[in-house]
Amino acid sequence: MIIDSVEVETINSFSKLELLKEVYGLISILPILTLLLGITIEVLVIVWLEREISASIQQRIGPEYAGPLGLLQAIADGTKLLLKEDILPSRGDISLFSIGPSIAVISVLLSFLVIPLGYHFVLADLSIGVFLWIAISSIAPIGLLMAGYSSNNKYSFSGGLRAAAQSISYEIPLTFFVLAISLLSNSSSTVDIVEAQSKYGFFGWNIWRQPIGFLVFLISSLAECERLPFDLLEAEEELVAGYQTEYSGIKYGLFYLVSYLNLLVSSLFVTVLYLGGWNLSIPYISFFDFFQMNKAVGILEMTMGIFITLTKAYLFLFISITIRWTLPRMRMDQLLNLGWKFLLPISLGNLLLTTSSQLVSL
Amino acid sequence: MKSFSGSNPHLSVFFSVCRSVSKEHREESERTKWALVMSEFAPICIYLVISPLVSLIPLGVPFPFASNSSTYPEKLSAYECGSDPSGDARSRFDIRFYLVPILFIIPDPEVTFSFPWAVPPNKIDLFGSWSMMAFLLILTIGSLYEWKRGASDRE
Repeated sequence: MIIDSVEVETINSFSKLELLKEVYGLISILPILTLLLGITIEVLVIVWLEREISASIQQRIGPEYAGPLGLLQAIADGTKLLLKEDILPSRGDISLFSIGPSIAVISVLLSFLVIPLGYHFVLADLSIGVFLWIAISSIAPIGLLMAGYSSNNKYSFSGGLRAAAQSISYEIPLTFFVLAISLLSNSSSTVDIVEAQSKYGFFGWNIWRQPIGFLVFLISSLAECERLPFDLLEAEEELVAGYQTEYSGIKYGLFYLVSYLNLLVSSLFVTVLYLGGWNLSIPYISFFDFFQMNKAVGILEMTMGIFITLTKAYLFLFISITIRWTLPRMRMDQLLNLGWKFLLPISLGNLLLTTSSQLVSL
Repeated sequence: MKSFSGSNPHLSVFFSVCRSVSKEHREESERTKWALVMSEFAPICIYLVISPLVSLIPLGVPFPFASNSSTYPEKLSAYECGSDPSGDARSRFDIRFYLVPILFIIPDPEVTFSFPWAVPPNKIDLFGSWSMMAFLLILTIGSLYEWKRGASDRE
């Protein structure tokens, strides 16, 4: 890499301050564990939210027995699944069968690396942040294919193939729109993308500069998460449970987890890419001019950042859950036609428009 | 710490080489480069170790609790809504499920190659954008051909 002489001097002086360079890696375990704890709590909240909102839409009462207001329902489900017997199908490929759900979980968990909840509050501030998410989310269909093939069940196999076809068909419009956002923000780093939206408050959000992108990103991420209206793989009338048919116990729990984690990652990316991330979006007001103390402002800023990001993410989660219970399911060929013949030309056209607007403003 | 592009790359390389002439300077710059790379990628490496653990440890938890299925061999056969499984599960499948990933292979590197182009538009000016447009045009012609020939039709 090309380093200036001035920067080499500053780096040398900086290295003299830090004595334990080899131990630097180990210190970052604490943020990772905090993140995993946060993810677990969020999954509990999402499962509870989904059940409560579904119950309200269907005019019935949701979970109410496990903990106050049914809040511990997800823990109850998880514990039950942990204690169930692990059935391995005869004549199925046992190693692939076991690894399938794990690969899907790993790929979704790795996407949390680049999500910023504050200015310095991101696990890995890579300059290729969003691209890392796109690349890693391409690994999930491999896990689904493994699960479907190794179950030795016609319905699982068919479900696995369809799941992989659906996932990869909607990845391309998704990536093209993320590319358009990168074009607008001149960077692929998630922190830079949020910073580029912070100038004019509410009116600086990328949703106003890429409205088609917002809608298509919503549709594509619902398709990637395999939620209704793209729910064909889990529909009981169609394929029993698709690639999850032969799974029981905690492996089924891992697929369940993948579904909700994927939804959470997509919601967080919608807020980062389109809704302005951690910025309090009241235009032209800087919230922290009122405070004089330095250290307290740092912690307050961090808390506000997390709170704002999560509020915006939960807005998208609410929209997804409501869509699940209002729209009918799409057929497989309608699904693939939508992905290849409708969204892909729109994404190319949007890229062209964005490029020309960038060139005109140069 | 995202990019270190100097205004004159050859001059800065010359300076850094001059600085690294003496052995201890060379060792120190090696250590600082290693430190930079480590500080950016250390969380990723650790997370890469922790997340497989998080997903694989729950697979081993049921072993002390769960019952044995050797007494009920019907539990282990393939599920087909109650009846005995007919035919082999790994028989033929629709060729279109093979075709969709092949058709995915083309736009996937297209987008991957577009990412380095999208980020610095003020450095590549008009010439850079138009050359990328030529690339996208060739691939769009391919996609149109595939559409017309019906490769993405009917499931």
